[in-house]
Amino acid sequence: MRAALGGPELKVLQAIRVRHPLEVIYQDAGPAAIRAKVARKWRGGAVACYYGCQLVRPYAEADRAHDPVRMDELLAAAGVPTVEWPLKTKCCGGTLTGTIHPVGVQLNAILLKEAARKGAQAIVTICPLCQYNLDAYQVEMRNGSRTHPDMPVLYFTQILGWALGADPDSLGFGRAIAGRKTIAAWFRKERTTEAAHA
Amino acid sequence: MPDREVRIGVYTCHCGTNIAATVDVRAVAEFAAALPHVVLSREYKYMCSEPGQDLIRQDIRDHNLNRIVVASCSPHLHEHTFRTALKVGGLNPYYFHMVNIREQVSWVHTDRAQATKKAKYLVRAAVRRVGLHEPLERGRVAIHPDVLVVGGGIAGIHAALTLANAGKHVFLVEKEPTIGGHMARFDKTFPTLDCAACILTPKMSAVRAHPNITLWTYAEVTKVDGYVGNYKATVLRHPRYVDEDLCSGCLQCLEACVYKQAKVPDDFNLGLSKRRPIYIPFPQAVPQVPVVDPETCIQFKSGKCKTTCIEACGERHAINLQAESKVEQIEVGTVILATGFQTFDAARTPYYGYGRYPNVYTALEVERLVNASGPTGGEVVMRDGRKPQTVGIVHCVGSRDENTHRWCSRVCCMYSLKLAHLIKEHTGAEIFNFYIDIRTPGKGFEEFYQKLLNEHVHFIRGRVAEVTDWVFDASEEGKLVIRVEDTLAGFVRRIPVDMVVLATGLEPRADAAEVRRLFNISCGGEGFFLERHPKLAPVNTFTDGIFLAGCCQGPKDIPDTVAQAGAAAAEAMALIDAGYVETEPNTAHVDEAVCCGCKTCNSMCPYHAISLVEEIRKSRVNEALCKGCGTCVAACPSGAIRQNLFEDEEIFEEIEGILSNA
Repeated sequence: MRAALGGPELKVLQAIRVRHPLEVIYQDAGPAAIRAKVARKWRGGAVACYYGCQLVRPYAEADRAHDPVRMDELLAAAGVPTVEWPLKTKCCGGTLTGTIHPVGVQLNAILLKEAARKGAQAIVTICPLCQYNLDAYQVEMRNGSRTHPDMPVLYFTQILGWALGADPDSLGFGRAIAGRKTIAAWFRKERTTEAAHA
Repeated sequence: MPDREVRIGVYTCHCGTNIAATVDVRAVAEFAAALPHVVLSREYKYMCSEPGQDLIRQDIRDHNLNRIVVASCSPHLHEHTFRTALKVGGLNPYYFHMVNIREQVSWVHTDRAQATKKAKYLVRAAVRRVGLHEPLERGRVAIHPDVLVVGGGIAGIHAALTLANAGKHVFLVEKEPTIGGHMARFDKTFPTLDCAACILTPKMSAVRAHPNITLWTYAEVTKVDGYVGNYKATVLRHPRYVDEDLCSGCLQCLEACVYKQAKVPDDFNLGLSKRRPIYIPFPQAVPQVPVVDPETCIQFKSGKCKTTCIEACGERHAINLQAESKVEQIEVGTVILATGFQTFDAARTPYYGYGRYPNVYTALEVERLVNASGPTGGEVVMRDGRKPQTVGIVHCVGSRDENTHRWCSRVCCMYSLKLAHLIKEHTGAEIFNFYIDIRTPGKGFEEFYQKLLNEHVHFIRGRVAEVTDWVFDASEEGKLVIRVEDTLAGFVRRIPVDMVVLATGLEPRADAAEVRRLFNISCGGEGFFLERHPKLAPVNTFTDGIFLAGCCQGPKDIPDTVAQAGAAAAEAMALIDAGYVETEPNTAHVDEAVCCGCKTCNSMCPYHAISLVEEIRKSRVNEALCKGCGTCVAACPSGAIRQNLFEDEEIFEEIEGILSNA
C-alpha cells in the first residue's frame, strides 16, 4: 500500500481506525445531543432508514447486524418519524446497476416499493452508492410500472443538517434526481415558518 | 533402592499390525533384552489376549521375575489388565510399568526406523524407572447408600424411580414448583403420538407416593462437599407459602384469589396465557400444591390484601404467607445430575422475525397451543386470533449454524414432523417444512417421516434465509413470507404463510456453569456436561460417584433420556451394592516434617482434596479425593509433597532412559 501511495510524501499511519459518519455522530454526539440542538420542527412525512451493507457487514461493530437502529434513533431525536421495515440491510446491488443492469434496478425497485408500502415518503441512506442506486433509476422503474413511487432518496446528514438549522442551500438538495417536488415542499426555505418555531 | 535383586521381564506387543507395521517389534525386544536387570524380553502378537497374560503369569514363576514392563497400547486401555496379571502371578500389581508404543508411536509416525528408535528409548525409560517401583495397596472408601438426583424432568424421575424401586433412598431436588420438566409441556410424543401427559403423569405420581423418595420441589442444591461415597449436600427449599403437608390440593384458594382475572404471564405456557399470583403450573402438577408468587401477590406488595385465599383454605390453615425458606443438609454416596436443557433463544436469529412478527412462534410455544390443557384449550389460534391456513416450519434454528450453535439438536426434525402432523390435524392447514437434512435415525422415526409425506406435508430442502413481511405482489399481502433457496429445485422460493414455527434447538441451561462448579465436573466446548468416555462411560463423569442423565449431557430425545437415566441409576447402584470403592494408590502425600503450612497446594488442587489441618498447621491430602494429577507436587514451594508412582527418582530415571544414549 505504501508503494502505491508513492514514496515518502504519503504514508499510512498504523493506528488509524476508519469510522463511518454515522458512528461518529452516534458515538461522539448521540441522540440526546441531537435532540437538544434541534432548530427546525420537521414538517415532512415519515422516512425509511436504509443501512445497506456499509455499516454492519461483514463486522457489526457499529450497530446490530440484522436490524440496525442507530440512524433511526438519530432521526427520531431530530423529530423525524421513521417507519419499521424489514429491508434495512437488504442489498442495493452495489455496482450491479452498471454490470447486470436489470438485476440491479430490480433490487432497488423492491426497496422503494416496500418503503412506500410501509408508509415511508422518502428513503434515507448512509452510503453514497445506495443513494445513487435508489435515486438514479426511478425514471426507468416508472417506465416499467406507472404506479412506481417517485420518492426522494436522501443522505442522513442532509436531514440532520436541516433539522439542526443548517442553510438548506448548503445541504445539496438540488442534486436530487427523484422526488424533487417532495424535497421542495419539505425543505423549502421559509422565513415565516422558521420564525414561528424559533 | 530396592533391597533384593531387580529381575525385569519386558513384553513388546505387535497389536496385530497396529504396532508391527510401523515399529520393528523384534528389534525393540532385542534392544530391551540387553538392558540392565532385564532377565527376559519377549515379543508377542496380542499381549492383552488370554495367552498373552498367561505368558506374564508363567514367566513370573518360571524366571522369578519381580518387575514387568509391557510395551503396547495406552495404559487407559490395558494397564488394569496387566496389573491384574501381575497380581494373579503373585506380584504386587504396582511392580509394573506400561509403555505406549501404539497411540504415541506407531499411530503417529510413518518413518519405521525413527519409530523403532523412539519405541526402544521409551522401553528403556520404563525399564529404568520400574526398578524403583514400590509395592502399593489400593484403598477402600465406603459408599453411603442414599442418592441425590438433581432435576425432576423425565431423566431425574426415571433415575429416581429406578433407584427407589431397588430399595435405595433417593433425594429428588427440583428447581421448579413441580416435577415433569420439559416433557410435561409436550402434547404428543414422536413417533408413536402417545400423549406425553398420559405416559409422564403416572411416573410423577409414583415419585410423590414412593416411600423411598424424598421429593423437594422449588428447591436448589447450594453446596456440595465430600467425595465418592460420602457427599454432603445443602439444599435450599424456597417457601411456596402453601404447606405441602397440610394442603389437600382442592385449589379453592386459586378461585378465591382477589385477582378475578389472571394477570401474570404464565411461565409454564411460555407467556401465552395468564395466571394468578397463587397458582399451580398445570393441572397434573406434582406436588398438587399451589405456589404463591411474592413478586405479584398484593399481600406481599402492599400488605393490604383481603387474603381471601387464606379464608378459602379455612380450617386446613395450609397457607402461611410468613413461611420462610428451609435449609436441608443431606448425606449421600452418589449423585445423578439430570438438570436438563433450555431451548435456543429465537431472538438470536432476528432474520426469522421472532418477537417482531406476532405470528412467528417457537416450537415449544406451539406444543402448548396444540395441547388440550394449554392456553387455547388445544385450538391452534394465532396471536392475532386467526386460525392459520398455511404454516411454515423452519428447521435447525440455532442448530448446525456457525453463527449460533454448531451441533445438531437431534430432536428438532422429529418434533417438527410431529407438530406438522398435529397442526394439520387441528386446523387442516397446508404445511411446509424447510429443512437442511431430515434426520430420523431412531426406531420408527423414518416410518413416521414417510407417514407425513403421505399426509401431503410439503418438504423444501434449504436453510431459510429470512421470514419477512415485505411483499412482492398482492398474493403476499398480509402474509409472512419465507424466503429460501430450494436446493433441490435450484432456485429461490418465496412462500407466503400465515404462521411460522421455529424449530429451536437445545442448548445448555444458563446456570449449567454454576451447577458444574458446584459438583466439580467438566463440560465440553459447547457447555454440555462432559461424560467420562463418549462410548464406554457415557453416564460417568470425571468425578467419581457423580453421574449424568438426560439433556444436561447433550441433546437427546425421550427414549434416549430414559435409557441414560436407567444407566445412571444402574451405575449408582453398582457402587452402592458393592458397598465400597477402591481407590488408586497413585496419590500425593505431604511430608509433615517439611510442610510449612503455606496452603499454596490447597487452592491449586482441582479436586479440593487438600486442606490445612489447623491444629498442626500442616496440609493434608484426602486420599479418597486425590486423583493423582500431581499439581500439588509441582506447586509445593518446600518440596514437601510426593506422589506414589511419580517419585522424583522415578521420573528422573525415566528421563535418563529416554535421553541417554548409553
